[in-house]
Amino acid sequence: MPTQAAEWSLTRRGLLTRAIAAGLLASQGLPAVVRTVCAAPVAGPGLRAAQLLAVCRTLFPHDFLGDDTYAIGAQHIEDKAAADPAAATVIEQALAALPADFSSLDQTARELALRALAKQEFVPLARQSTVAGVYGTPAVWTHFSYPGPSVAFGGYVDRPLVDLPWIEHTQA
Amino acid sequence: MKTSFDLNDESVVVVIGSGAGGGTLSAALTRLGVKVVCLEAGAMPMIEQNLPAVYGRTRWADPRTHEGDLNPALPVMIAKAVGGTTVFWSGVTLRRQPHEFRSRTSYGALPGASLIDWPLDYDELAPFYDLAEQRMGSSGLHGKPDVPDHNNGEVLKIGARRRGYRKVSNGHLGINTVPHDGRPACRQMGFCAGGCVIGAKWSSLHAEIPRATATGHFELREQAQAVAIEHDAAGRVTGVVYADATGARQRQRARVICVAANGIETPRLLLLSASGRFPNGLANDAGQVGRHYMTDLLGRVIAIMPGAVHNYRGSTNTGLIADDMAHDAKRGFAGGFLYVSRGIHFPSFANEIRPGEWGADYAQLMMQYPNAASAAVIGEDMPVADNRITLDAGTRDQHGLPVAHIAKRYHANDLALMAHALKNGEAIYRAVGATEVYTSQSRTVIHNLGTCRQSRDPADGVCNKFGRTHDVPNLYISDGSQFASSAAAPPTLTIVALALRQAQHIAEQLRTDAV
Repeated sequence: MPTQAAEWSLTRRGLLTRAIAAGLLASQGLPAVVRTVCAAPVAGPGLRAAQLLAVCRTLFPHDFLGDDTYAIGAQHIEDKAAADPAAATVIEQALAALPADFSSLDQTARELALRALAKQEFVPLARQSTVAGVYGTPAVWTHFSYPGPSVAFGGYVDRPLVDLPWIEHTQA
Repeated sequence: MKTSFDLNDESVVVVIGSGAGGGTLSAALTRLGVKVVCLEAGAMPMIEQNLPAVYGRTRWADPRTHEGDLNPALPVMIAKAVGGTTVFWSGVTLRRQPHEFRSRTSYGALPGASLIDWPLDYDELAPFYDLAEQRMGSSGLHGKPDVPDHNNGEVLKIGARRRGYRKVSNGHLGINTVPHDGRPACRQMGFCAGGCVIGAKWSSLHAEIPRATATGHFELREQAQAVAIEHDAAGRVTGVVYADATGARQRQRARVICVAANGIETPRLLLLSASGRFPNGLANDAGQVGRHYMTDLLGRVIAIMPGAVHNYRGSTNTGLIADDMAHDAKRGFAGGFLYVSRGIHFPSFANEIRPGEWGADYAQLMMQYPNAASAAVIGEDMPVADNRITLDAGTRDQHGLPVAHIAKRYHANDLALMAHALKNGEAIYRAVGATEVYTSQSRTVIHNLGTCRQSRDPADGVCNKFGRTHDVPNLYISDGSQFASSAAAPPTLTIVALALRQAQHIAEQLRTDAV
């Protein structure tokens, strides 16, 4: 059964985009998954990577996080596909059901597309992968004011453990 | 002192599992001069202060199947490692209350619940509670200082006092507030559940396994997963077959066998050990092995406060509200619960604010992390006979054996208790100005209890008040599986106290040739 992605790749715009992308990317030293999403590829493994990355960004979008971070979430999804044939099928079917230009849609349209998926097993799987891959990555924690492990400076035992200046202004 | 025993040494006690039950039992038995071989399915864990990373590589990830109310993606979160799930625990050392040993008498008949009284009463266990607290260095007890206050605990405690609660404290944690037992005092690093990098938190890994090793009577075999217990014609157990690190089968002979593999693997191992004499599984003549599966009720309250909380600072569970631990039928449900502050790690915050939800609005909520305060609810979970662990012959693990199938559906009493606890939990945080409060019952569980329970009548359970199985005189249950009921308090201190008591009993049985 041909996938939507395969059909899409044969359109004129698809062929054109792919040709441009091939030329543009040849000289760039970016990680593969970053290149593919920048170029919005339209078929094959590049399309799959771009779609997965866009899925992760759609679930928990933060402008200040780069595609390299969301790619970790995408990799967690791929890891699940590799480990479990049933998960692989869920992922395959969901990606086939998403619009082929999913990764170039805006956030609102991508959210709608994900919520419109007839089979919803994919979203919890992708959500779990994105939480683990994106929010579980130490490099992102400082963006959310969590400084990360305290072992390097010996924990908080000699630092202020109680500083709640705001609490006096609250009322029962 | 590293010791090793021959596979054919019939004089040893084999302990299966090295967690709160198995590790403590091993240490206490070897202290009394008993030779112990401890079989641990997991390996020595690598501890670092990165909770998601430690969870990822240390959790029990063998396949299981399940039905009912638990989270399909992650129904149970326990460790597969030397030290068992004490690597992950956060240190609350609270006693069960006397009435919780008489659950059926205290609560009466609840439709659908399989309540019984324990064959053991509080007074019998009390001296061992003292020993357990001293051993674990429980803060605020036996001369040990309290754990220091921190923001996340203070928000909970101030809110609770404003709401009229009286039993408001920092609780008792098995976390050193001063150097104790050769381990240092806590540095308040935060997120105890990822494992303590300095060993200030009591764990079997850091306290009991070293204690056992030092006696010279102890051998720990890592990556040795028990797959069957064997018996002789008289129905006495004779040895344990286990898969070693290469998957090869080995057989350790034994005089006594103690199973402490956690509330899911313990009954699974007995069911896997079915034989001509025990066609329904070892020690399962009454059909009770695997039944009455309890998880404790685990709830979470996450509040967004009007200022910074930095809940990642300091020990995870500092701050306890104990007023609701008492049984009060006027509330409309049986049993009690507690609130304990709970530092919430960043990825967990994402999972738990509104479980399952996502999108641009949700991403904005994540920016509130520094202002988040959080507490856990722990409550008594009713036993139900059909909540149970069985074998799923259609799914096999890496050793080719049927996996555990978990059936768990919460009783109406559980849902009523949790709804009450979450509603009042929200009110506590509103009393200190919370702008948003998110509450939910956790469907990923960590306490697995009751699946080989103690009972006076052999028809009602699997073992007696010493954990000795009713059907097999030299086979013991040594973990939370032996609980006849859960409680408002989390189980670890009780598991340790029961192990200390059981060690004295087994040593006496060996001395008098009774086993």
